[in-house]
Amino acid sequence: MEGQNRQKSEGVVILYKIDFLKKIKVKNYIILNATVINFILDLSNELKKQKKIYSYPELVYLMFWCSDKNLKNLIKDYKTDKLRLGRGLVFHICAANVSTNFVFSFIFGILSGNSNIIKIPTKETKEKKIILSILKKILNFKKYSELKKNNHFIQYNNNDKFTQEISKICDVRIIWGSDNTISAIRKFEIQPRSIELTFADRYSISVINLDNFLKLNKKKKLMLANKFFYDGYSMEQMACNSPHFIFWVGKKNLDSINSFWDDLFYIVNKKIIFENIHILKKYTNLIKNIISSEHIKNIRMYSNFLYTAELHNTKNLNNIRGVNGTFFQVYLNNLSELEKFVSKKCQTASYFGFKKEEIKNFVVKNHLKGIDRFVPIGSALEMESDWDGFNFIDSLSRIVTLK
Amino acid sequence: MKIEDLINLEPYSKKKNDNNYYFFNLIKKISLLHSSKCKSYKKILDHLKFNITKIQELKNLPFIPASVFKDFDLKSISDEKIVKKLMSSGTSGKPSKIYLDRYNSINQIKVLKNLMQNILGKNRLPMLIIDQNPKMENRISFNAKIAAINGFSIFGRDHTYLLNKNNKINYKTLNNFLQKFSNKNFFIFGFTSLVYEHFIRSLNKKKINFNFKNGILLHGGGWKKLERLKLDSKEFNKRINKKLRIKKIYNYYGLIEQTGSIFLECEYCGYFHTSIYSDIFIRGKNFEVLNKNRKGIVQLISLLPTSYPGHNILTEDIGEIKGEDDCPSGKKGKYFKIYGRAKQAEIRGCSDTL
Repeated sequence: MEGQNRQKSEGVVILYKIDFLKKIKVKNYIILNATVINFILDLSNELKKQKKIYSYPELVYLMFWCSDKNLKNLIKDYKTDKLRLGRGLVFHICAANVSTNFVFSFIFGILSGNSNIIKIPTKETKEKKIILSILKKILNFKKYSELKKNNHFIQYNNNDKFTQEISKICDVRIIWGSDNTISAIRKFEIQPRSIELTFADRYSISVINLDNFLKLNKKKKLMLANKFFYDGYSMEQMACNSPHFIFWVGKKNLDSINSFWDDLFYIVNKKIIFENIHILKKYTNLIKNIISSEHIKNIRMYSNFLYTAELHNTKNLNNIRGVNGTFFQVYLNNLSELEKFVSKKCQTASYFGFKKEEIKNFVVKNHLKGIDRFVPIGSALEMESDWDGFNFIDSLSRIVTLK
Repeated sequence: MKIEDLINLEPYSKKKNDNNYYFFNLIKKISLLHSSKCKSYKKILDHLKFNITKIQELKNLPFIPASVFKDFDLKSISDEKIVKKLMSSGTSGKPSKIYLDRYNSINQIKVLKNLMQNILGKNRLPMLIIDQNPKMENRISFNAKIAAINGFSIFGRDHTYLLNKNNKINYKTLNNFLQKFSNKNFFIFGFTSLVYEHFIRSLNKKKINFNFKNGILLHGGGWKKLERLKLDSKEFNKRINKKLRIKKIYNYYGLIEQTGSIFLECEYCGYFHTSIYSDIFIRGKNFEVLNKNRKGIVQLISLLPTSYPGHNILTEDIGEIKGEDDCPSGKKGKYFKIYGRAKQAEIRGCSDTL
């Protein structure tokens, strides 16, 4: 069937010909409409029915995210008299590093009342297969026939022609990807009134108030390390919101800092099964960092399960990254010293031991250029409607003023 | 003892346990050499707190990952001493870059020669190469393919290339070659995937008037391209034997970082053998040394690399030691099996919108 668009069993159209675009119907719906909410609840329920769902942490997270409780919270944040409708057609170009990325992008697209073309990564994963089969199933329910008509999951290998043609007709273009990917796609114009949201490659940090950390008892310290474990070890430390640097703020106390790493090592030992490839990548990354950086000191290898190192005489975090549990530490006297390390590329700071007010002051006083999220340690990887400094629903909808 | 003292020894004559002493001391010396000549290597040792002089066992000496040679130019010689630059194929990303001086380059040839004499005998044999005639555009820089063809060509004469410019078998050339040479031993060399493609698949026996039974086939370069065919070495040999009646078939395994000290498949046990120039460890997930019959990450050690720190390398391959000093062939040393690259788990990085 070369040369023709092919319907894959999971409901994804593999693009060979661009004439598929003629079939696209665009409708603007009110945001958070009931059909969409029900659809997302059905998605959650179908995920729950999957036998092996608990082997896929990213799917479990998606399942909870789509649950009644979470959606109610989301809607609650959105009680407003303003009339908002979707912007029209959203073209999502999704990333492969997080298997559920395309689903979240799609969900925000429909929650904000849009029709969507979702370009999903060609990389085959089990998670992707499961999600697509569920999506296909629900979209075939009669009650969602309109959603089915207005939303298209497509897949193609880098083909500028397709990207160009879809870009011409979309009202919003969302690009998840590296700086290179984004600048390559930016060559293709969108309409004058269309907008673009880009979610570029970023990195994240953790900040711990040492004075308050010292006040914790043994059990609470272990609990904090456990929360940090979820942030640092999920997604192989490759998500934009995975922490790579840990800032210890306050009077330096190496014993208690080391006890944190000992706790973490204990947890990693219990919870993670590494594959050989993870270890190879981790060791290789460490050696490459050693060769290329002049600022790494005091490397500690807790066998191959946890690597830590100190960062000295630099404020530039752009060229050093951990893999699979490699963390670089910096000691600060107070929070305001963090400012010099924060670049626009820094996305999330997961923290412990600071009051919100302190953080607010820090951000405002220092006219902070980067960090779009401060969240407690343990929630770094949560997906929120506020992302990279945007609100999805605000950005993907238009206000209709009514006086 | 120096590497020169080993050049003319029988390559499988030493037990790893007995010979550990010379081998360990030589590797230690080479490690110290690189540590004094290669800044990046020294930096790695310092950061990981290795004190070479204090280390007492081969398995405790530091190893570096193979892919470091892709991202960095690691050299233990000054630039004016470079006589050759080897480049890996780079099919999976950037190529490795290996810099050789005269000494290193000559030792590679000498060691390879000693290993090859075991298979080919002392005399140069007529050589059929399962490839196109490579164009020598740049005589300093060699990609892996040209390096291998060049490297093995010195053990042959009357070099004949099987494929024409369009990658098709040139039957006229082949028949000429066989007419002249097939009544005595001759040498056939090619990459495993090309040997499969052209010998097992496309070669039409009706178009050849002579037989291959005196051929000695050496092939290497990995099974990656053949993985989906689920073809193992035994089955590969069987099919070639059935079709062309070639009996002597040798697979080799090695790193471009350790060119020269290759591992040859043994006709008795069917596994790759270490030689007096090389050693292997299989490492677990905490880099602990695994005993025989346990799968793990392959670490390869070679006495050859002196102009670049490639003497002790952690590969990306998964393998298993099958035995030591007890191969029915009488060869001493370890023998092992390679399973191929460590499985690529899902790539997770913002960098791969595809």
